[in-house]
Amino acid sequence: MQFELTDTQKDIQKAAREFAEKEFDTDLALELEKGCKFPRSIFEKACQLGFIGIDYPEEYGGQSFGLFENILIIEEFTRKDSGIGISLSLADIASNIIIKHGDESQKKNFLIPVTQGKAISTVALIDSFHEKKQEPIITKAEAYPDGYVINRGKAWVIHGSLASIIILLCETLNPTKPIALIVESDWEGVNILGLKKMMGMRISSIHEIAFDKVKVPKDHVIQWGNAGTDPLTTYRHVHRTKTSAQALGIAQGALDHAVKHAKEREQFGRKICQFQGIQFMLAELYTLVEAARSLVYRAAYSYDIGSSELEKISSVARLFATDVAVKVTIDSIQIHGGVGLMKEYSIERMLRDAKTIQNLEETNLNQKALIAKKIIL
Amino acid sequence: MIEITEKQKGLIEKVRGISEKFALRVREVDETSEFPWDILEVFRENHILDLPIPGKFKGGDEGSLTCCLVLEEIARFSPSFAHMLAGHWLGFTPLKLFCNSFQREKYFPRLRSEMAAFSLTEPAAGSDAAGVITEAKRDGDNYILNGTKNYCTQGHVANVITVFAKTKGDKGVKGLSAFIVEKEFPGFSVGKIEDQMGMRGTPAAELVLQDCLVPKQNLLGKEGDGFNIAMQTLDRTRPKDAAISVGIAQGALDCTIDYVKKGFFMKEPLLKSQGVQFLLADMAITIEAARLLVYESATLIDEKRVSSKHSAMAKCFATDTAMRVTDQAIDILGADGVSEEHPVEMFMRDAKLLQILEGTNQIQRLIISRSLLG
Repeated sequence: MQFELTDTQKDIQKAAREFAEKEFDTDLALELEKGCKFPRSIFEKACQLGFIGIDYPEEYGGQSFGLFENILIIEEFTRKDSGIGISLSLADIASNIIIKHGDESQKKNFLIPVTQGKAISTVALIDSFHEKKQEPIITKAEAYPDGYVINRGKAWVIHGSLASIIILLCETLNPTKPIALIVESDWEGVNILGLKKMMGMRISSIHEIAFDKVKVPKDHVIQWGNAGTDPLTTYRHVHRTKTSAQALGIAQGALDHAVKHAKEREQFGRKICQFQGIQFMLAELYTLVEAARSLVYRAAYSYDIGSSELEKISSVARLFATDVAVKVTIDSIQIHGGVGLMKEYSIERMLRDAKTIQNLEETNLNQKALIAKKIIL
Repeated sequence: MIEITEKQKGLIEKVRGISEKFALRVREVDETSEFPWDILEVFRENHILDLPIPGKFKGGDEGSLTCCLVLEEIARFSPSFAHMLAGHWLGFTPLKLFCNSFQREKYFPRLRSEMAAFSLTEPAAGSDAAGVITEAKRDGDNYILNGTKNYCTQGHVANVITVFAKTKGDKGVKGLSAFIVEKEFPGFSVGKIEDQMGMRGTPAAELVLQDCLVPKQNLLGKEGDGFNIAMQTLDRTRPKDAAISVGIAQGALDCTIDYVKKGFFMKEPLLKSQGVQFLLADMAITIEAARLLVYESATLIDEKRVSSKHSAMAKCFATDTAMRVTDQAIDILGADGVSEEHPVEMFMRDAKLLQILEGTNQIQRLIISRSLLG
């Protein structure tokens, strides 16, 4: 068992850190957040440098690394800036489904443009936002001679107004079975509706997309007969792990800020880091961040080696790391005092971003239910 | 056992009738961060603004407990509007405690309708009041104030502000004095208005004092009384922040209960989830405990048995409770919880301010432990 990153992994981490420090800027992030805008030029640079798509096979524009190397980058990005980091890490969320389940032409057509910075890919999960209301899954794909037609459906979609590639995860009609369809956003019947305003994550806007009689040709249907898992499960595992990596980065970033502030700020004639009350807070936060890191790394590693632990560990990592991110950001604001509350500093935004990713798509109540099921069975 | 009188119950009923209508407005104010003058007008018309002002000056003549009950009720729907009232009452408290009869006659009638504020904090003086560098120099019949105060809750809309400044060189908190400063005094101006995460309708402001001319009659108490005035004030106002926190937490719990009754979790009704049931129980337990601390600390003030420890415990526990309960509420509401369509995300942002203002919860713990260890 090894707990050290390899030299290559350290290089990747260092490169990601340097890129983030050079390109991400608090003022820019504030402006982007105000306008709910995506940092397109930073995304393009990140693609050029190979940060986006690092885990794609080489023949499709990637570097054939694993999810592990990908989450090292996510961690460094969100550590420097929660909002920009999250938005970049969510710019290709459909890709892992295509890598794992897509055929050769799908990989060629839908992975390469992303690595070139020309396309953003996303996932439309029909039931995620509606599940809690127990609305029937209204989107059904009906077979027709050349593929499927989606008669009607709506979903809240991350980067919904930007993505040109949308993987729609829904069910077929007669017989009912899950299906994954690649939909291109410029097709007839794909309509982008309103923006969902959230507490945080505003640099990665979420739009509602309506699908109305959208015809999906056969070559856009994802088959998964031999992959073992289905696309939805793959998406869940990867997305949970990436979410936990975002949370880890935010937690580390908030801790960095707290330590820096505690070492600079003077009250009662000394640095506040010299007060044991603050020291114990910092020690506790550091412990939580380290524990979260171990879990997040283990989840990514489990995905890369195809471990049977993945289902459980990806939930555990998401549960723990997102809770840690919320806790650390809350306490980091506390250590900052008044300045921590002000928008011109990043700390309050880190809390809003952490709380939002913790509750988007899935909740930690979901994770607890899933983990319990796994333990009991 | 603390009894809520019939009169207090009637007042709460009245406040509830008014504040339920605030729910939509508070979201607008949260977005624009513009001071809600219309809400201030509602508080004026309904004689809520003047509740703590003595009856002799045609105020409501109410004590701390009543004020806390009112704040709790308003904060259930609109924390920021409760914060507006608490800010005014915080500004009024040093005057209530330390005004001489001349000052009382001059300012009490005005503060039935005009806003007051309290300004101690400076960039270098957050937790540590000894860090105040704003100076007040005696010059004939006036004091001349120079310096910059910051994070003064609604300092930009207040007409009468208790400003703390140093009158005696380097003597730490012993050199602090308190002055009643009016907005119109020459040399007074409002600087930066903060863009803050919560309580956005009632933001903190920077106050710039540039050769600000304050008549010597406006010194509160004596020179050097400043620190004592500030501490006596905060002992009496901390339960009010705690009351707002209880209101926020109760409001979040109300929203959550409402949601749980309608919602679904993993295809089952949410209310059947024991995980959710237990969370709700935990939320209710801490809210009730916080509420009792608020009532107790406020009653001690009304009975003239003010306890720094109890006020600090109420503030610390209730604000921590508001933070935890709003956090838990979002965990149950999930994506809906972080959406602007529900108020809980705003409540969480509002709660975070309360853990910091009027003495961070670290300072509260310091006060409590000092009183334990003697």
